[in-house]
Amino acid sequence: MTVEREILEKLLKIPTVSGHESEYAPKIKDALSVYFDEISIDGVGNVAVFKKSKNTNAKKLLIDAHIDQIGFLVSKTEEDGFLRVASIGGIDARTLPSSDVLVCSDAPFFAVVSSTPPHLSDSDSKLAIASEILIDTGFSSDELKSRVRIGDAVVFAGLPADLACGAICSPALDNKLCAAAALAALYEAECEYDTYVLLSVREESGGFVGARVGIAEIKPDMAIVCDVNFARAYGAQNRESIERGKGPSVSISALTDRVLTNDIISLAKQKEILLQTVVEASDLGSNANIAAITAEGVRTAAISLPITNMHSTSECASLSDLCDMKRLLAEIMGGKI
Amino acid sequence: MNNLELLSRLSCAFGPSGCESEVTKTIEKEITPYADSVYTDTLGNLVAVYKGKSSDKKLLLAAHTDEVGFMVSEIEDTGMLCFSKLGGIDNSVLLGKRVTVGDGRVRGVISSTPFHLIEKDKRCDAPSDGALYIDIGANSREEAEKLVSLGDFATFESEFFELGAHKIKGKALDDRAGAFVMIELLCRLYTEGVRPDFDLVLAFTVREELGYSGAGVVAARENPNAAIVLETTAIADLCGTPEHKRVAEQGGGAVISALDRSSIYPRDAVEYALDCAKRHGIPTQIKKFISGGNDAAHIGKTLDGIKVLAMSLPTRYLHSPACVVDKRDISSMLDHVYCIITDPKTKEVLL
Repeated sequence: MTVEREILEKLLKIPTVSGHESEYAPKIKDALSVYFDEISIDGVGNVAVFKKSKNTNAKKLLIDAHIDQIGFLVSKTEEDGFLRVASIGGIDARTLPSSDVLVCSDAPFFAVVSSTPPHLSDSDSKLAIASEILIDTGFSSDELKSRVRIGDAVVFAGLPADLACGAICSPALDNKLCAAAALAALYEAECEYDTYVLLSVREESGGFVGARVGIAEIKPDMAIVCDVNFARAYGAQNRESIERGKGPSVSISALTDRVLTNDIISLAKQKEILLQTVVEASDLGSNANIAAITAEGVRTAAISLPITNMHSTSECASLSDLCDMKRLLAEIMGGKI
Repeated sequence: MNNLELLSRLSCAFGPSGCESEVTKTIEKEITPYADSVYTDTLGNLVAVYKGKSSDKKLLLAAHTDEVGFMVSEIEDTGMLCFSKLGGIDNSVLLGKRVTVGDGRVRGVISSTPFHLIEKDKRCDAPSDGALYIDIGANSREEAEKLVSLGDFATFESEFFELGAHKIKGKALDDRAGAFVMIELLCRLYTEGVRPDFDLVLAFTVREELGYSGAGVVAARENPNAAIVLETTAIADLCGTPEHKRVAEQGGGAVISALDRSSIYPRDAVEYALDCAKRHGIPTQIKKFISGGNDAAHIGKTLDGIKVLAMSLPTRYLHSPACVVDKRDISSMLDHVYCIITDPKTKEVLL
């Protein structure tokens, strides 16, 4: 198994719903301690992994990959063993009915999102948004109350599984996929810069809170924000999506540094690493929106990996894209830019 | 409940309507030691005979082995598979679910437009049939065609697990749970050395979910005096459902239908089933809201008409990858059918 796959699987095992940083950040740190010596956790729960340059007085490079995932917090225990939840991040209502979930209470257990069978449904009714769904736990009301506390995290259940042609599916590939690419690159790279991989918190929950704090603390000379992007799919236009299996993509945007972006494109060409481009004029939908205006200003570029079914129970991605992104980031860390 | 492992294997077996052989082979292995004879007919219905003390009358038990599923209808240039649904599946339970495709059992994921790219007021609409496809990981038609073909069957891939204290969750419990009860019943009769007063025919049928069921064919061949269909039923028992719309309750025993959307059941048979449970102290309940239909409709109108009963496990989330059944209901249904079969009054009243 490649290092990036190994790291990815470790990250996917740790639920990372916003609000629970004090539980999950130490677990992330533990999982990574076999690969890295310098790992720190800041006040909001960002995990920063550091590798020193082989040079003295080197410039600082920061690779940001948010580590939080979409999910839910328990808001109420209902009669008959059902839970109500509040959504954390943009939950796709179309993927909820009959999905398996993991209720992350002190003793975690599996449960299922209720659905209405065709025998009983009105065909054209709207799907329930997350705050309206019922999660079926199978427990009696009393037992459920003793097992679950309001605020416990709930995530989509499901282990990563292989598809054909080097693709994989799993919940929470957004954004543990990019985190794994960045960490594997850091693990393998001979760093020319003092290099930080910032596993930032609270991207999905809004406000880019983790990245704002983490980037400001580190004050890098250059930041590369790594997040997933839309793979080409039914209903996704070519101009807003990238192709799976054709490598990562770099974003062309008014919010990022064009020189840095072009340098990355040249580097990929020179090293024969597959790289696509996508125009995201004024909204990158990621921490890249705010990276440049953090602290005293940071030269920023955005690189992404294509996934299908974003924010669903089974996001799908290509392992070759993951490997290409790792290679590209390792070259950047190695000072080729 | 014993033998959860067998129910798990039945739930996970690949058996969309029209492609049930993996399921029937699994069942055949289980029942062969207990049955007096076993055969598979031209459609794939698996039939076991358990001889009674006397053979002048015959009772047919039937459970269907197929599940709702899919068939590959087109392979696109992008490597994505278009599909048709086999049986009634609401599109709300499809997106992001894992599926298994074809003889190669290739894993896929049901995909559609990412929701961020859908207009805000349409984000709570279930995707239309034409907007859904299966992603097996292939990035071109050529890659896909090496793994799957047009016409390949597919079904959900779903983890079987225990839910809470008494329940189980898995795909295809409609009607593998009914088939499971029949297997356990046969095993129990054989192990206890009990022979009913009549011959018992146990049919594991095909194609129920398509509406053109194989059950009628078995009834036509076997010509029983009466039949009992062992099924699952939707129950509409979620919290907040008004009382008048509820069908049944989990934990209340097998559901006896007096009426559903495809059958009107003979009143004397319904009363007898309820009476039998009462006399033996077995929980049971009557279906309170008219919905669904099953193989009883096909069996009932076979030959010159066959008296038929339907007993169903109260089941949540039918026709989804996550059906939920209560183990206590499975035990109750097994006890209930066992009592009907062994009760000395049954031959006179029901057959």
